[in-house]
Amino acid sequence: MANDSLIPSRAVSMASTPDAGKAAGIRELPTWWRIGRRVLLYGILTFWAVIAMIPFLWMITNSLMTLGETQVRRIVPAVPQWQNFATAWEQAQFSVFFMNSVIITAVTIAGLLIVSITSAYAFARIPFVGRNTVFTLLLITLMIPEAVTLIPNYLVVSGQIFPLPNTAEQFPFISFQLGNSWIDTLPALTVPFMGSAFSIFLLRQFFAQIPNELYEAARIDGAGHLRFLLQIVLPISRAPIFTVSLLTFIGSWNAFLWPLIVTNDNRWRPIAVGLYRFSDEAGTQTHLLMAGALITILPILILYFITQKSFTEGIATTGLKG
Amino acid sequence: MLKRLSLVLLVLSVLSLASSVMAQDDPYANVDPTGQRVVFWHQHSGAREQELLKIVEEFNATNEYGITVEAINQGSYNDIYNRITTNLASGGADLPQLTVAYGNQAATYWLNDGVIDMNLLVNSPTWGLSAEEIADFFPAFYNADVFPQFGNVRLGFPPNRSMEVMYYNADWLAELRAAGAISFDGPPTTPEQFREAACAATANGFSGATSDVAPIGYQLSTDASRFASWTFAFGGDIFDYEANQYTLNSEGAVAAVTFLKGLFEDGCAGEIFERFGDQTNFANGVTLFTVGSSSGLPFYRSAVESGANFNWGVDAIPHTTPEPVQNLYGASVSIPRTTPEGELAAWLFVKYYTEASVQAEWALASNYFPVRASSAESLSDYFETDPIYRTAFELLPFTKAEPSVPGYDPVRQEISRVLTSIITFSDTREVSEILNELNEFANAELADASLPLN
Amino acid sequence: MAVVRVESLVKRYGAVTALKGVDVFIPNGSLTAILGPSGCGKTTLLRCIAGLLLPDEGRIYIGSQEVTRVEPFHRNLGMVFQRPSMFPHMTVYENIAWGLRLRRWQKHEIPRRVREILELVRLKGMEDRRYNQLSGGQAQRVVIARALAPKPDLLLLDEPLSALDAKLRAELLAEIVDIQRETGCTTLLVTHDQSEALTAADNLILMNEGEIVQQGAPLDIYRRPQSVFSANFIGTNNMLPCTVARLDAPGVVLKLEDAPLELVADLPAFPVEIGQPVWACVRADDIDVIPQETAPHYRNVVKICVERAALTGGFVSVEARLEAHPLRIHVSGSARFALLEQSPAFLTVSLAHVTLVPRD
Repeated sequence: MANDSLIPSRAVSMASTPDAGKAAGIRELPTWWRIGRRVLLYGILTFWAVIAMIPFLWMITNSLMTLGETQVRRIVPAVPQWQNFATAWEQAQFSVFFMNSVIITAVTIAGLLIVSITSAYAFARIPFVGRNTVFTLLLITLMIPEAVTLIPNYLVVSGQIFPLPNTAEQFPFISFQLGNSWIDTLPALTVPFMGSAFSIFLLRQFFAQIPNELYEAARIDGAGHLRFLLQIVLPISRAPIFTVSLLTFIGSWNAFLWPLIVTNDNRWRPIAVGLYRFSDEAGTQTHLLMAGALITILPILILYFITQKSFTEGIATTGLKG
Repeated sequence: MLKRLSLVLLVLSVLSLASSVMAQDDPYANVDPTGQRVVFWHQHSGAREQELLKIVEEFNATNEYGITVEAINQGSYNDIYNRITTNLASGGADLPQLTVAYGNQAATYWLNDGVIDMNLLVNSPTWGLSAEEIADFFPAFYNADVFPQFGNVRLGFPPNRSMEVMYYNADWLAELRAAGAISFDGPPTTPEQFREAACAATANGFSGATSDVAPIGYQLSTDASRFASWTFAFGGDIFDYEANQYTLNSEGAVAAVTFLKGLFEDGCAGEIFERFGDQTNFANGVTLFTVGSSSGLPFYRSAVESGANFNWGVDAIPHTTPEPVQNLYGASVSIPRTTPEGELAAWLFVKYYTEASVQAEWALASNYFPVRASSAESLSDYFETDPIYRTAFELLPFTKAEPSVPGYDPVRQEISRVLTSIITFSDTREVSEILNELNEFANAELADASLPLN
Repeated sequence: MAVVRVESLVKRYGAVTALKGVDVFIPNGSLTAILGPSGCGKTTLLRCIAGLLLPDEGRIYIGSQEVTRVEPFHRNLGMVFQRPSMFPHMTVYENIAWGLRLRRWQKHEIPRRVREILELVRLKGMEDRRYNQLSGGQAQRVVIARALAPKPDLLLLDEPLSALDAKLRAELLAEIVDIQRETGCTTLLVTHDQSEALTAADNLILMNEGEIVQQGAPLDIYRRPQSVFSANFIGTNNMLPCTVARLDAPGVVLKLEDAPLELVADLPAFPVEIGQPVWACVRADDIDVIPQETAPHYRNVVKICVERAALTGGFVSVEARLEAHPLRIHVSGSARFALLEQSPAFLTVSLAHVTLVPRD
């Protein structure tokens, strides 16, 4: 064919001589420029990577110093003080707080997944009256800053707007407060975070992309929405579910202000509140604070590395062709 | 017969009137604190909290009324203040029986009917303190929680205090003396000596310095408490209790700020660029003087040991007055308005907390100062081992306090901002002019904050 | 195995009526193709039969049971969609077994059935493959296997070959025909590709704009279109305006308008009167180029004026004129190249097969 013969020769001319390149309107870059550009790029990236890592490295070195060494701003400890971790653990009552954080985070993630997955599925795949309006309203709530909702949330949680279900009667092991307030109870620390507009949005976008043919094929075989969701949709939605879980985990694990406000007692306080105790008005026990902080972020780091593997696996196995 | 009867009646009525009057004088006379639960909100953590919990346990085990105290950390002073004011704004239903509070915070609570007048308890014949006990308290401490602007009500009780001291590098001073750079021995006692030493230090670094940073004589942190301390040292005050007005532009204040500005102009003093930066430089032998809270003593100790490890000490802020005038501060405990039984039970704990022996224990563990002079006896051994602490302790009779008035916190922030602008020369007006403006601001804040919350 | 009957089915989408009272009969065990242009309602019809859409009016029967409002699951169907609807996280085995489990097949029966059906679709031994290890054609075959595994009464295919490349299409279509012959399952195939429909189906339903235009055996529709649409949709047709001159059983004599020419056409399925205007339909492939001297042996010999001749792969496409009317001829056979080389101005052709459709 006439067309075919044209293409190969053009490709040759683009690569070979600069003149031919100029004729085709493309400038060939000289080698030194290309190398220099690469060096510059890597240089800039490395520089910023190091800057980003510095606080983290500082935290590690300081966690192994004595108080005095942190105060005189030494770079590395003379002798690594491994016992700082044990001391921090005891002093901040980490055993109690750590357990609390684990329970709070687990419950929050479980509740959040149940709520978000089901509502995202409904928004994505079940037509109902006013669906778009409700979804738009949900998205609008994403723009409300946290500080604005803090006090209204507190009033609701302490039962001052309307009486809350008396969880103490039904679940005595999670509540220590009788009456219609959730202050100092597990629900106060978990329930407010189970409805996350961002999670619902993320999952909904993903669910909406699932081809309708899958649902119809399942329907013909006798599956309803629930079975379809559980047996077909969820297994292929590993990536967004991991994302949502990880983000919730980080938020829940690091929560400080809200738990401090809704607890008057140490019973349900999480780990971030425990870290607070290393500073007082006279000074900060930096070495213990850093050790405590490292202990705190360890689970997050571990979880991140685990999910990162599954992340990429998940994306690879769910490539939906066509 | 009738005469006798009427006499008896008269006596009886007088007696009953007297007793009711006495009961009015002591509203807690018939209150029974048995079995009460006292929730105590505090901000202590670490070793201090451990000691407090120990004290609480001892009280719970030994008090004869079966009162149980529960001491719970509720964050910082600010966090506690925010919670209580939020509580008060929505009705004041869930207040703890006892809480820590700075004087100005207690003043705000009082304006919103949130705390009780503790005079009723302190002076109660049944439950109060005897005259000798009262005399045992350091007077400045004891009177700090009495508020003349509210008619001398007592809104708090002091369980501990700290004060501002000058930290100095003794070895460096000796070097400067030996080199003839300064004309006196030992720590400076007047501002002139202070200036001399600071300027000499800037020119002659410490031989044992463990850092390359250029030496500087004094590093000033522009905290409002430094402002107050230096003003006191120059014989002034920052508040007039009679007139219920700030005096941030008093002669003493102007003199103090001009003095500090002069140090900066001559390069003998420097700013602090990072938190506790002055402490770091002091420990490394780079800064000769710092001014800070006595509760920082253990921190300074550990820093110096890891740093240049020299001989150091604390002393009064150099003063123009005949005697030292130290800035004394700290939070007291206040009793919110709950139930008479709860309030009484809380007071009984406070009494225990401020007993001389308990105070000694508390001081040792917390690095605060005990509020009772007689605690010194229990601390005599400790004084041997820690002469620096003893030096500071001996300054306790010479103290003044910052004002406990509502709205003091924003005023503190403004003082800090203004002080910074003066020493960084970003505001080059006359010091008296700047302080006049500051004083107006402070009085306006005072007027605003003296209104109730809702 | 079942008969499917649809009576007066109406389906509206807002202001648009997709099905305007459709009546369909699908014989038992047939491979019926529903053919039509885009938007004619064929997919809507299929989905109503499947139960994925609820019709507004009318009735649907599968076998002897009325299923108009019955859930798809209870209609005992299998369905294959345009895009492969294989569950990507499951192996081939699990995909097929899933439907069987849902229909409560015995546990020990399932492996045997899966193996059986995989052999039928020529995917033997691929039980453990996953979606990303299969080609498009293989995935579609898995879907077919999944549809047929539970032995449905009816197999529905909604343009199953559109997403595949051309070469694969022919292959898979042939397989579908084979499978249908083997299982004898009543099959409904929706397509817009007429060659597919003509090749595979033994029953053809032609639709346009929500209505059934013609149903019957493909050959029937091909040779005896009953409307302009049927005539034009399949193959390339020439429509010559004529009037009925004489009825001359077994044919009809037509007079070409504006020309002194008579053509003999087949007797139509509808009654005609003398003088009635009709369209004479001649397929472009039904016109033979003949040498002048052999003319008496052929019918409807006419002389045409050639305007253009072009090579289009298997045949030469000739655009010509018969009197004033345009005529298109597809010349195949080994002699066709001669036309290109010589480019004659006139050709003698025989209109071998002429049919009538109404003209109004």
